[in-house]
Amino acid sequence: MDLSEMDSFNRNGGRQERPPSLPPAIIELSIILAIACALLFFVIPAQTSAADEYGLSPAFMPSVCVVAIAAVAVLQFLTGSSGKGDDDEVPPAIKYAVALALAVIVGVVVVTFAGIVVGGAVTSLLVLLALRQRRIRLLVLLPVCVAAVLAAVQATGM
Amino acid sequence: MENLLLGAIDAFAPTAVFAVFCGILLGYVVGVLPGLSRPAALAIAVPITYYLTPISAIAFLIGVTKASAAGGATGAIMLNTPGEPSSAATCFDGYPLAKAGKATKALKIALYSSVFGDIISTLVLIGLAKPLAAFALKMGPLEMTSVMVFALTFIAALSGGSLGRGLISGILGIFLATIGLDPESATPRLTFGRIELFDGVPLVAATVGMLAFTEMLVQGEKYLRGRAAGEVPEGMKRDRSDLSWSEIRSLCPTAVRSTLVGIAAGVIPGLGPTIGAFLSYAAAERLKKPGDTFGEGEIKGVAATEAADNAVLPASLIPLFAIGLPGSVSAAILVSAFMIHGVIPGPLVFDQYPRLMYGIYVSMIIASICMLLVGRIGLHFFAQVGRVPAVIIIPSVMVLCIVGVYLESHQLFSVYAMVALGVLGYVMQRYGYSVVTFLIGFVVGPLFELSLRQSLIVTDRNPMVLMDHPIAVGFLAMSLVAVYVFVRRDSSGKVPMSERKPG
Repeated sequence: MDLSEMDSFNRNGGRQERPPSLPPAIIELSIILAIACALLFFVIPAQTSAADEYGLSPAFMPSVCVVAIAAVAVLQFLTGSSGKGDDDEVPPAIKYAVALALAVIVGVVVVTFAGIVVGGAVTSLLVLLALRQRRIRLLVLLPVCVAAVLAAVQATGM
Repeated sequence: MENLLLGAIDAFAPTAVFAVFCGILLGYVVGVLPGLSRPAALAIAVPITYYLTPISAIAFLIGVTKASAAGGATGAIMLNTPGEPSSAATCFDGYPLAKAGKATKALKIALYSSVFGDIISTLVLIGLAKPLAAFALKMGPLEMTSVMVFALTFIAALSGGSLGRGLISGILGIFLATIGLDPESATPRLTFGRIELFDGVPLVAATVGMLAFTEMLVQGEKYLRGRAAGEVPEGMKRDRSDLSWSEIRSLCPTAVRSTLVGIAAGVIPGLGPTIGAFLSYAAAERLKKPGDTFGEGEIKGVAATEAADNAVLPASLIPLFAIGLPGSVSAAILVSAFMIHGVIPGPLVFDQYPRLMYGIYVSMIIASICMLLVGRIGLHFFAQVGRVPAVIIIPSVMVLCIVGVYLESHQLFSVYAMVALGVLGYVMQRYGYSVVTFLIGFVVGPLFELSLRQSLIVTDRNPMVLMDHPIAVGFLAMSLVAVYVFVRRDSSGKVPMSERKPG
């Protein structure tokens, strides 16, 4: 839904109030700065050890990167140069990608316990189901073909 | 001369020639399939080459890259759906030609222009890479750091819609590359106690995850949304039109000019084949003669985009071989292939591995010839491959991603890393952050950190010492100019030409 459509006139000709919402640019900047602060003050100090008397600290490069990211994000926000149509475009629903990713994650878990051949076949089956396929022939043939190919690869000793 | 002959012997070995041929075949299939991009296919193919000799492995990957550039035109012409982003400009005139019953003519023009641009660019690479490498050896850490800053800035600006987001992506890639052991003290850094991360985030997991896996998530989402909206895919047309010698002669000036544009786009890091193809099309249109019908089925339009598109890859290997800096994401993936086989691209590669380098040059020429033969014979067959439905491609490629990463490392940790990075890549793409820039930052990161640390030691952290290094000052100044120009572009809201959608 276009943000501009939320400002509309009601039947009596008055202006309807737009529900309060932060501009996407501020949300983006807030998320980046929050992650940068968490990395700079908590993660990097905890995950790097103190340097000896010579040389640069192990935390030098990661810290430089985090500070640079935060600085670029702030500059981008201040100059208003975040690219085309950010406030107008609404990303599509995420549910499709989530379903596909979950299918693969479950498939990788199966690989962990049952091996690459069975896991690969199950992964292909789960992805087909996530793609809303219900044709029995496809649901059987593709996993069987995948299993056959993976078994052949395994047989080569790779 | 001895190394050239030895390299040629290696390149003409049956295994190497067979590897090139297989790479060309795979590349054409990848190029034709709209759901699988060249970098994604390369990323999947790299772990497969682990068991090949270095020359066969590189020859195979170069074959994939070259042929996918040529094959991408097939979908653009037949379906108005480019198999590669760099073939999007081919849709402008290729698809109208197909609709007019001249699909075969368009496909032949695309093939011959592709081969022409590829061969000329390869010869330029062979002629220029070593002299440039000799020059690069004179560059110290300050110069290398400034060149990388300039390259990353350009790549960041041209890879997406916003310089800021591009820079954030590139720096995030460099940040991810810091995971592992500190280069000076060898103490674990950001490893969270995982011994698998002591060597850093696996390169193959990063490339496969953020290119192939991410792309399959995007393609799957597109398929499901289209299915929900009730969209029906378009059909294909065929014909028997032919290309005359007079038409081929009329295309020569366009092909030569476009090849030069493609070479320039390849040498300058960050431009890439998509920018090269669009620039070439714009130049050809600007120089059109009376009677030329650009946008309505002009054969010069097809020749312009395809010659430039295929000239980019060999040229993008010039900065890779000369200074170890990948000029495109495909070149960045080739870096991982080199490293798997123990070869570090850079100015010393010609001194340390002369036989291998000459072997690669000869393999590239062989690949160009194979591309012509395979493309000419398989012209109509490859057009049919483009009809493979997404429901076959997506699960197959996802399984390939898992298998490919597992084969390379035999560690399930790498597979989990691949999935996690794939999801990260999807989120980044969704919100306008360039995965390409991220990956180039990730690949270049260790070299950048090393150069930066050396620069700080050389200058004793005194910025005034920079004045004694005019090359470094020049590149940093160019970076600032580029930042200014691109920030102005982003603030004005202009859409980069490479983001113009085909027909």
